[in-house]
Amino acid sequence: MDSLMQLFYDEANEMVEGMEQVLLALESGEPNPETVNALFRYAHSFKGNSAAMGFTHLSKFTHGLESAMEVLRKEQRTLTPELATLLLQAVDMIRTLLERTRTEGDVGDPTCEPLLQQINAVINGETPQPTAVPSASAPATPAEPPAVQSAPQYRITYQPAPTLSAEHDPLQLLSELRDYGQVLECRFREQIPPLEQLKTDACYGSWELLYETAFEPAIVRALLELVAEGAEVRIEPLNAPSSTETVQPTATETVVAASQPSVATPAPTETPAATAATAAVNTAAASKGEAQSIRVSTEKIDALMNLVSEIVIAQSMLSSAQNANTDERTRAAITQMERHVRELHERVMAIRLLPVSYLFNRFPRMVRDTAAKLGKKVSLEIEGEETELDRTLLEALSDPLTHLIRNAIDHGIEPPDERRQNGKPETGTIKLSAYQSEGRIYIEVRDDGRGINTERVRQKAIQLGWITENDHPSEETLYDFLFQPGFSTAQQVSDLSGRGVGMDVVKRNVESLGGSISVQSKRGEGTRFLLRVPLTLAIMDGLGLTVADEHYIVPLTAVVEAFQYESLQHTALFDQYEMVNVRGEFIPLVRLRQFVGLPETDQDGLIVVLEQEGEQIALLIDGIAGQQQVVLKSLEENFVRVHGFAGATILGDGRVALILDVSDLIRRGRQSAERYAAVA
Amino acid sequence: MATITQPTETKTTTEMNTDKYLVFQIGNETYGVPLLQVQEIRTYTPATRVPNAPDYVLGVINLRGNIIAVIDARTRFGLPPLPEEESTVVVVAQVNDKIFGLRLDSVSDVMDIPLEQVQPTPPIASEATQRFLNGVVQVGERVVILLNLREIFDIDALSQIAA
Repeated sequence: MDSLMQLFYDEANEMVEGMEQVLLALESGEPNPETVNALFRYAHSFKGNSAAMGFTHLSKFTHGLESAMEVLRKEQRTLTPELATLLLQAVDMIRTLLERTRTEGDVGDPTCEPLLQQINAVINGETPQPTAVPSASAPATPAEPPAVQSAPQYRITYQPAPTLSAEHDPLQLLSELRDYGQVLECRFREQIPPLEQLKTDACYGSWELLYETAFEPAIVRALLELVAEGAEVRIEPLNAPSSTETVQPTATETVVAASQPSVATPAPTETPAATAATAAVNTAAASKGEAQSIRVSTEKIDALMNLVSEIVIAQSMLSSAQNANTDERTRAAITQMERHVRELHERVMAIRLLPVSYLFNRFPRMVRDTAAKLGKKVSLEIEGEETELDRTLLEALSDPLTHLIRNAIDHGIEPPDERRQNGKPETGTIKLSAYQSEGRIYIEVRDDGRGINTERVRQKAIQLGWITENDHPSEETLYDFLFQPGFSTAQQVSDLSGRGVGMDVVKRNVESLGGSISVQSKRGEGTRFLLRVPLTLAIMDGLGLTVADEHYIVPLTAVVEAFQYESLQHTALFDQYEMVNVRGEFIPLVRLRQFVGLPETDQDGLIVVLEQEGEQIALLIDGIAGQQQVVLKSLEENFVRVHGFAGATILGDGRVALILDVSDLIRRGRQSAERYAAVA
Repeated sequence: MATITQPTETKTTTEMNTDKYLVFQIGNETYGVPLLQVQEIRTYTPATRVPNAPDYVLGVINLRGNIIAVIDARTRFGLPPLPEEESTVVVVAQVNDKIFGLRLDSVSDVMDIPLEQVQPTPPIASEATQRFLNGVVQVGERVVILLNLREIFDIDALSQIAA
C-alpha cells in the first residue's frame, strides 16, 4: 500500500476512535458544546480527507453526518440515548466503509442513506418509522439504491488507442468515471490475436459501459477526452428507463468489475447476509494478509533519537581514546562499531523525516475534483516538495492545508467568466510551496482569486454580534475574525467549505504545533496564507565552513560555487562597497570572520557564493570542512534566537555547530553596503 | 558525569523547615542553589561559541539532543575565569521552562538549608551581582549565599543578541 494511502487509513482510524470516544463521553456526561464541536470537526475533517483521496462514498456519508451534527451544534441540542446509538452506528458505518475501501476500492454500502435519514429524522424531532429504518445488520433491500432512477444514463464505448503508453491507462479512465457517477455495468470485449502476433504494448480490447451520472453529457465527454487521449470514445445517452436491462454476456465477452477487484455496486441478487459475510471475510483477510506499518508514538522515537545521539558521542570518545598501544582487535572492533553507530544514527533520524511531497501529493487530485464540482478552472503549482519535515508536523499539517486549499478554490478563485471579465486568465492558480528559512518551516498557500472582501467580513461580524454597526476594525482584526469558531462568509453551505469550521480548525492545529498562521489579501488579486511551523527536527544537507577553529554550516541548497580567493584580483571597492568579481559580475562580500566577531587573517581563504531568492552573496571563509547531513535544532528552545543563525546542529563528535541564516547574510551584505554608501 | 536523583520530599524534618541545596565555591564565597532546580551535574565539555553573546555565555552544548547555553559562573560574577580542570563541572538547571548549564570550578556538597534562618543579602557584593542573590544563611561554620538562577540566566537580557 502506498504511503499516502497508509497515512489516510492511519488518520481515519484515529478519527473513528476519536469520534467514538467523544460520543461515549457525551452520552455519559453533561452536554458540552465543545464536545459536539469536536464531533463536528471530526466529521468535517473526515469528509475532507476522504474527498482528497477520491473515496466518494465515504466523503458523501461523512458529509451527511456533518450536516446532521451541524444542526446539533447550532441548536445546542442534547444527545438523547436514541440519537447517541444512531451516531455510534454511523461510526460503525464509517468503519465498514473504510474496510471496504481498503479491500474492495471505493464502494458504498446500501445502508448509508437510510441511516442518515434516520439520524436526520431523530434530530428533526420526527418519530422514526421502524419500517424505513433497517439496523446495520439488516440493510435495506439493495435492489432499490437511493436516487438511482433520476439520473440520466449513458452507454459508453471506449476503445483505447492501439498502442498503450504510460499516459493512457484504461483503468484510470474507469476510475475517473466512478468519481462522477456510477458505472452500472462494464463489459470487456476482447479481440486478442494468436500469441505469435501479440504485441506486448498493444491494447486488444474495448470496454462498453452503462454509466449513470448527474453531470451534463458535455462534462462526461470532456472527462473522457481528457483521460482517453487518442482513444475512440462513443457516448450514447439512454433516456428510457428500459435501458437498465442487462445484456447477457456472450462467449466473447467477459463481465468485469469497474473497480478493482470487485463490483462497484452490490449485485441486486446478493442477500444482505451474503454481503455481511463477504465483508467479514475481507476484514479478516486485510488484518492477516498485509505486512502493514505500525504506529509508534513520536515520544518513543524521540527518546530513541536522543539515546542514539549519546551513543554517537560515546563512540567518538572511544575512538579518540585509541592510541599506539591499542591492539589490532580492539581497533577493528572500534571501526566496526563506528560504522554501525553511524548507520543506526541515520536510520533513527530517517524514521521521523518525510519529504513534504508525502503530504502535497494528495492535493492535485483534490484540487481537480473540487474545481470540477464547482465549475472552476484551477491549476495547482507545487514548490519545494523535497523539503523534509518531521512526520508529526506533516500529519498535523494535513487538515489545515486541506481546508486552506478548499477555501481557496471555493471562495478565492472566481468562476471562469468572472475571471475573464476581470481580465484574468480563466484558469486560476493555487500555489502551494514549502521552504525553510530562519530556522522555521514555511508553508504557503497562495491563490490569484478575488481576495478577501473585508466589508463582507465586517458585516458578518456585526451580524454575529462581535462588533457593532459603528465599529470599523483594522484589516488585521477583520482577518482575525476569519479564524474564529462559527465564522463563515459563504452564502450557502456546500459540501466543500463554508461552514465556518475550517478556519478555526486550521488555526487551532497550527498553533498546537507551536506555529502561527497569517493571511494577506488584496481585493481582486488574491490571498496568501502563510503557515510558520518551528523546526523541531528538520534535516538538510549542509556544507561545513571553517574560520579559525570554528565550524559553521550553510544549507547546501544555497551554495552556488566555491573558489580560491585572491584578494587583489577579485575585490573591488565601489563607494566602500566590498564586492567580489565573479566572472564579470560584482557580488557583495561578507567576511565570515568579521560576521562572527573573529580577527581578520592575512591568509588567503575561500569564497563561497550563496544564493537565496535570486540574490547572491560571496562569503569569505578559511576553508571547507565537507558536506554532511545535519539535523536542525532550535537555539530558541532553551536559549534565545541568535541573529544571523537559523539554528544549530550536532556534529558527529557531539559538538554543536551553528547554522548560518543565508537570508540574513544577504540582508547583512545589502545593509552594510547601504550604510557604507550613506557614509561615502 | 553524575546525575542527581531529585528528592521527592524536600522537607526532611518536621521541626525545621529545610530545603536541600547544592553548595559550591565561587572565588572565596560559598553559594547554594535549590536542588530542585538542578537536573544534573556534568563534566565540562567545550562549548560552541555564540557570536555576539555576552562574555559570560561560554556558548552552547549538546545535552542529549537539545542545545543549551552554558554560563560561566565566575565571569558572571565579574571574576577572571579559571582554566578548565578535572573538577570543572556544568550544573544543568531549569528556569522559566528553559534549561541551561552553569559552569562551576567544582561542586562541594548537598546541604539542608533551614529556610527560616535565611537573612536578606548584606551588601557584600557589588551592585551588579546583588541581583543574583536571594539571601544568606549560616549553616554551622559556613555562610552560604543563596543564588537566584533566574537572574543569572537572564533570558530577557540575552534576547538582545537577537536584536
